Amino acid sequence: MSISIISSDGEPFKVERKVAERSVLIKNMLGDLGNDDDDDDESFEVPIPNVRGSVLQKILEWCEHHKDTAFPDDEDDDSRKSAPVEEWDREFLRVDQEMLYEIILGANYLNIRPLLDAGCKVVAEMIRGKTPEEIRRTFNIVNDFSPEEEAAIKRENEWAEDR
Amino acid sequence: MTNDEPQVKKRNISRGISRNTTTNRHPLNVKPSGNSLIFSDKALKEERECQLGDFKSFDDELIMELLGYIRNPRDLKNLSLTSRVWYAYIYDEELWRKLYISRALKEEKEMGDDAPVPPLGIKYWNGSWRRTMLHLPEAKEAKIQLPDNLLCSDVLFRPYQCSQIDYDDLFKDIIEEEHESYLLKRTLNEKFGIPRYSEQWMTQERFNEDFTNKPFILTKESETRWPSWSLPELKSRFPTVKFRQESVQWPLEFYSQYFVSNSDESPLYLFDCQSSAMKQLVTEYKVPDIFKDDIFTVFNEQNCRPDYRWIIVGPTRSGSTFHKDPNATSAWNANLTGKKLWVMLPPGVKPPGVGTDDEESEVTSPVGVAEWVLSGFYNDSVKLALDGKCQIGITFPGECMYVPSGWWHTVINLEDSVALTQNFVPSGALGEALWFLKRKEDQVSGFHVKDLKKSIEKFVANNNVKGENMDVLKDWLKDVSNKTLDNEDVGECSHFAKLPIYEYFVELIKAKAEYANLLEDGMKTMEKLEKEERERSEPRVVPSKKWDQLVEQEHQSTSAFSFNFDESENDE
Repeated sequence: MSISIISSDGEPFKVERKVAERSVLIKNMLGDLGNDDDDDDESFEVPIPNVRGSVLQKILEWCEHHKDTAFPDDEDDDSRKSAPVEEWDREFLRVDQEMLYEIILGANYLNIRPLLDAGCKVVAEMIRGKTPEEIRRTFNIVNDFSPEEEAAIKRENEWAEDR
Repeated sequence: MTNDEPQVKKRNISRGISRNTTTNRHPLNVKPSGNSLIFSDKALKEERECQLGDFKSFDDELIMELLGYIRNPRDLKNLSLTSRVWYAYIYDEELWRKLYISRALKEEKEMGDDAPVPPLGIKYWNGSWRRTMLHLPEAKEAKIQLPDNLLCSDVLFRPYQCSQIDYDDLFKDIIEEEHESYLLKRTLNEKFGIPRYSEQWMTQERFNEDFTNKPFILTKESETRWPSWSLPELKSRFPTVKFRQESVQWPLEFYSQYFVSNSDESPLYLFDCQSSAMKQLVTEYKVPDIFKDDIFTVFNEQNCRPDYRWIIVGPTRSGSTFHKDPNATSAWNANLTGKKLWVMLPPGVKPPGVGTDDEESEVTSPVGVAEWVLSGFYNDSVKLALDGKCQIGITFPGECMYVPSGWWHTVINLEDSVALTQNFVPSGALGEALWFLKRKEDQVSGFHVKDLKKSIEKFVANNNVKGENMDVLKDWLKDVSNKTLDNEDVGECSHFAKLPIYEYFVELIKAKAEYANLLEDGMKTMEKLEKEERERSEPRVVPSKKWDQLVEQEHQSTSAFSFNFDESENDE
């Protein structure tokens, strides 16, 4: 079976089934078709309407690299979220911030748990140790606190910091 | 029945609840998602996007997901101080609760007995998980307010709404009726109430013959029949003793602080069997005579019984979602303080709002009982009850509920509650227990492998009996003899192919002459259950014309669409 994944901007990506099935969304779609056979020459087109081509390409690159990786059981939310990011994934996610967010959004939509994990962890690392002002700059957050609210925030912060 | 014919007052109450409840304003003025449809406003949207910065295209679920990866309270706090919207997302209690529990468990694992008490060096509960983790008294909290409809999010609003549920108001009618029944010692709700009998009336004979498979309430005998423990009283007796509350272990002092001021959707429920206090407490109450008949005591005698005696403490709104008691045991539950609402369904009736697989090994239900009630599933249960498929009742202090083997039940604490409960196997439900241990071995829980091994070794050495069961026991011993065992609960160590609990149980019963007749009856019931099971699982073949047509077409056509009957991996 050959699978062609079509990005939101119409770009097709031909991949082998194993690679496509890193996405649980696609895996379920193929499963729903009731087709368990790899050998015949049918072809499937899977439109992914909210991931654009350059991002999809990147995501599929990840899927290709990890097509044979056995990821630990999904069950344990906690250990999954606290495990360190694998070195290859970290390199892979060394992209501009906009691309990083789009990969996270895409991984979320396509339901690729380990990629979503890695992406979110990289974002969490970008927050680590920063002051609120530094976080605002990093993520372009604009605030509209009134002077009174600023004072309340400051007080809360000082209290929590020096316990 | 000996109870006098009750003089039923004319009642015209629905016993269901009205769901048109109003909810208090969210503490930061988050609005329900529905508001965004009514008050969609371009300026608000832009404002929200500015405040979210780069994450503006993330939906609420994804934002909360992302926040779950921030494992340090300070990072979480600093992000929350960047803007009003972030402040509101990170005000979510579930987020902080998860973080606290995760860190406490990690600490426990790493430090064992040296871990600080209470965990994480946090000595005071500050009224919320967020404030507690940040060591922040409520008065110092900024509580930054949102303008109306800047953030409309069910993900944030719904848990808050559930935490504000007012059961006294929602269940007003049924509480009133049940309270009257409590005082009368007779259940007035004849349609689907849970009947009440006195301990005196419910003799062993009646219980064994007619009542083992039906829920009922033992009425309050006297002020002194049961202890009247409340949390403050227990706290003054055992202030520093650690009790287990779900996944955390807190000293009672700390839990008491949490107990009186939290806004969790499902407050942590103290369910303890192993604290040092419990060892004392079990000597201070008297098990109702009819419940002393307990076949699982054969495991006590061999030092390998799963935990079965529990003290349960929970604030209003706490409770347990739908479950069946483990190992097909029955249970009794004596309410010492507070009142509990029970919704109970016989085996074979699926509880509303709960999904299970056919084997009932996986159960999915709404996160908490409040969500379950507010989503309308309580009212669905009332409908089932009117059909005779569900029973609903409330127990008050001094009353004791009997929960038959295999019955689904959910329990909601309508008030701060302390209760005692024990799991047991009455003679009349031996067949169910045998069936479960034999047929649902993958769901057997609570046995500790190491204890079991020691116990079986001793039994085999001291009993010169032959037979298939003994062979199984010996084989198992051989099998585990060269494996290192920790004393894990069987539920957590599926790598042991099969624990011979059924065989052991049968042999232990056989070893007791007085159980001879009982075992015979139990085996008969078990065989009956097995037969029913087989009948259920046999595929009922209903020929379908449509199917035949499709198959026919498949054989004839050359179309691209294929069923792949021939090639597909088909296990059947």
